[in-house]
Amino acid sequence: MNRIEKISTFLLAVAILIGVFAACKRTFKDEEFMGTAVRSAPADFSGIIIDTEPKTYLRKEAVIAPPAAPTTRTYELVDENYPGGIEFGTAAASRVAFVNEFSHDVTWFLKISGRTSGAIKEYTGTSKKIDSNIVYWDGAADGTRFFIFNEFADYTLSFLGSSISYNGLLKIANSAIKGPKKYPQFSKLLPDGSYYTYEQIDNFDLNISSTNTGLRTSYGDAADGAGKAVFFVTDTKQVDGYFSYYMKGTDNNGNNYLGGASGELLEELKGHIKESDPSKVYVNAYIYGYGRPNSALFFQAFENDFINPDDLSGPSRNAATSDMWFTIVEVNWVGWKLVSIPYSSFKPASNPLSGGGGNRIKEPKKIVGFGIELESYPNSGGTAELALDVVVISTNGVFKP
Amino acid sequence: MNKNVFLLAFVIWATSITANAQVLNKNTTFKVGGLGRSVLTSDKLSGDLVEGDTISPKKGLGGYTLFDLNMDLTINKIFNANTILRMKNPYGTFYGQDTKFEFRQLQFRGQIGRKLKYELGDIYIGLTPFTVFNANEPLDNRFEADVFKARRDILNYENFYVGNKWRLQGLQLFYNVDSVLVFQKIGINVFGVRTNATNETTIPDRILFGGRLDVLQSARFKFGVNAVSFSDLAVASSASKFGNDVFSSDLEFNLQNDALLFAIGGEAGTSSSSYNDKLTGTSNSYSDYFYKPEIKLAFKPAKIGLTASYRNVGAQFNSPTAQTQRVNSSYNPSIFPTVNSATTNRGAMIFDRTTQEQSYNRNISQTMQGFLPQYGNITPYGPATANRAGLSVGLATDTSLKNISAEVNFDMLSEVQGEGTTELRKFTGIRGGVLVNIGGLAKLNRVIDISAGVKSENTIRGGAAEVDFRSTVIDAGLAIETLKRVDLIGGVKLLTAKGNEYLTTRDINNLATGFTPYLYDGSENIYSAGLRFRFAEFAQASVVYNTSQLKRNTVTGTNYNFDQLFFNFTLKF
Repeated sequence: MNRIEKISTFLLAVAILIGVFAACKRTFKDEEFMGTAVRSAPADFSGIIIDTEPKTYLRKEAVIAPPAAPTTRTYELVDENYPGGIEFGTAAASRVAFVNEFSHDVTWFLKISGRTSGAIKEYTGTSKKIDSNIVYWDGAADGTRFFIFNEFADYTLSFLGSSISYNGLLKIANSAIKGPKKYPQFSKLLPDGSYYTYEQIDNFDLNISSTNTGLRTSYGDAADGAGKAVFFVTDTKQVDGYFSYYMKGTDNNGNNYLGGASGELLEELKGHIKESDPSKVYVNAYIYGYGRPNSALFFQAFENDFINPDDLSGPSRNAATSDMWFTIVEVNWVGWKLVSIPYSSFKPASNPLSGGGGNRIKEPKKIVGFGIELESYPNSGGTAELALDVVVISTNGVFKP
Repeated sequence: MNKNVFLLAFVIWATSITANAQVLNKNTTFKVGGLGRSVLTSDKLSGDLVEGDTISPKKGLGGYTLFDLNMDLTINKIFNANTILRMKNPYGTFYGQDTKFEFRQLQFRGQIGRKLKYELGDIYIGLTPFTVFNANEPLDNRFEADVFKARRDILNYENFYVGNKWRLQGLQLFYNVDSVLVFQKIGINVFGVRTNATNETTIPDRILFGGRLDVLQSARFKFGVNAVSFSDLAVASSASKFGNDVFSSDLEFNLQNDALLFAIGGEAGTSSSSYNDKLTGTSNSYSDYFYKPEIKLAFKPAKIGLTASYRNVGAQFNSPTAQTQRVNSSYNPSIFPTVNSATTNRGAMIFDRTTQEQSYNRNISQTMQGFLPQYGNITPYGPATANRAGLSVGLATDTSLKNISAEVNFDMLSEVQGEGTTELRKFTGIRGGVLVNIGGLAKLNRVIDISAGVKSENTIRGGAAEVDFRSTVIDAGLAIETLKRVDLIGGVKLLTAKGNEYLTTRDINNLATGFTPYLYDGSENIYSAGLRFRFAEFAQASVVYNTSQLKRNTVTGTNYNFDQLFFNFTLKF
């Protein structure tokens, strides 16, 4: 390479660099820092210094003013307007405000935990005072567990870099809340997909005529005689809310089948699944295993091959001319386990009279109902026992509680 | 007809067509390859965490057998079809219930005319470390013991990690031309892939376009221009619209003689991102840039190379195809997933990260995922980690050395912009290791390899939200051929970390919104030993016992041991 070539090469390199940098800019370069402020408590931090507006908030808020001195004392809320506890949703804007002022600007953490439900709600911020117009509790919960009525909830207010904390106890006494919030909140779009709860069990015996509710009709195999399966809701154990769905039976006639349950009209899921790709639709459920061998749960998806999935027009489902797809979960564990099964792995029913006579095309949009079956599987003749809670249909990913 | 059956039928049909084609076309070739693997594990969980817990599972057996049949059909230079058909059968199921037949890969490729090559279907794309780059996970290093590399090979294969490329689906073109104007060679690589499919209602199709112009001016100077662009093909009911563009240029100029090579170069570029949330009516857009000049010195007789670079990667530099992490830090293991009477997720520890293929990610993430600082805090998102500035220096042996390989790297970085405070984090790190082939050095005709590596990181921040977090990972391993083709293999991976940090929460715009305090004081270790049987070049089996411990020094009742007996038979041809 001669001298001229070297110089021209160098100039070319410089030109490229200048060209790249000419297009560069930093949008937030004038911001002091990214995100919300984080500030540790200084050495002379003394926690709450002022209790403001105790018990006089007029927007039906229950004002919680923890004692000024750092303490772990707990007490039940006895606001004069709500002696029995907080009644979310019974009047406009009923909510709990935490009105406190601290000795310094500090990053604080407020956590509310339901003692019965296990539900949690958390708030955090960096300020000298918790602004009750911004931070208030309206009964909402983070995650999938929800606060329930007549339960006590602990709250803890703590600070970054300080051992000072305040604890208290709230009572939720809202008769308008029939248990936890209902899972249909998952029907909204979430960043990682969308969820639709088919059956949460807690309202299992309610609204039996509704087509928008889940498993309704249960049936045991009479041929099993004394071993005929029993199905009932129970409050002895549950993943969420009050109840789970208990199943037990003995396969005395040796045909594997013990019994099952399904939607009353097989219409309850009509129009709820918008995804057309079977590999992106998942059936998720919490299943409790009792450690009994040969306990298996069959999930059944009933399609109506004659509805138009866009406008939902068409006749009611005919079992002999529409598909039924199923999958088998062998429950060989002890305790609760979240099971997620892609619809693409479901197998076709073989009996032409009960779901084997459809078009044999897996079409999630045409699913109108779900069912379950308790089976003695893989070996017949056994006693199967398990419990079920929170059946969630998710798309674009498995249900992530 | 069942889809799987249909696919199988198609393969058989294609095979028969090939047989005919061999007669019809002398250029037609049909090659068959494959990989078979059988894995069996026996697992046990013990320790404080599960003591007295009668519900959570503490023992288990698992495993699978799979076979990937690779068929490669070349009609002529215009058309080649490559498929991998997978059959996988997990242990413990009945009547073949969970046996799966699937296409693991389907690719068409060929050449049109004299210069243009194409690839269709499953393709691998990769550009530069700041544009399209599938960065290694922070615990992965070339000084890992063989016993861990074997597990990592499995998870790399299962997750389609080939080098630092991403495996996606779409179209890729290559065009090369020699002697254009003053340039010796010009190469063009363009691609278009779909990274997300629409649900036809709220989620739009997401398309990634990109490419590189590669110019070789002479043996002394080369440069490239890279462009990557995400865009959503929004339907009327789409809930959001995302866009991201990254442009960069890289160059290298070198001078060399018989004793020395001197090179100067680097990469610089810009990114711009936008997100429109149609449900809330909000939109946001921002841009940022990076630059990384670099100097290389190679002392040829000594076979040693020195590199020094300075980087400045903006806090909002957003390059999803270079910043997506391989590991999903929030993954909960499928082996012993729950504890505390099956009510609490166990969470992944170092052994899960090193061995469980399901904890790895194959998709491009729109936002930077969360990470755990004990595994890597300086560049958790690879070379393109945003909000980093400072100097890096490295010393390494020449790759032509066959019996000794060693390197050491120093990082002295800081943030470009504070997170939650005006104070900046400062990062110092050292990482390196040595790999010695004693069998080769001593001219013994047998495998005797030892390796050792270390990574130590220190993060500090002053002011109102102090950070002081230190971590060290030590790797050591050996492989000794005790009998002909029978190797004793062993290794350790020891992680200790202590201090406080903050985990960053990001919104859908990829902007930091909140910071959660994070405390860690403990260790996570793996000790592994076993035997490897190399039956042939294409087949080997290994039996390895692994014991792993997680210890928390300040939290009681959380320590546990995870023991695993691992059997693996692999056949590759």
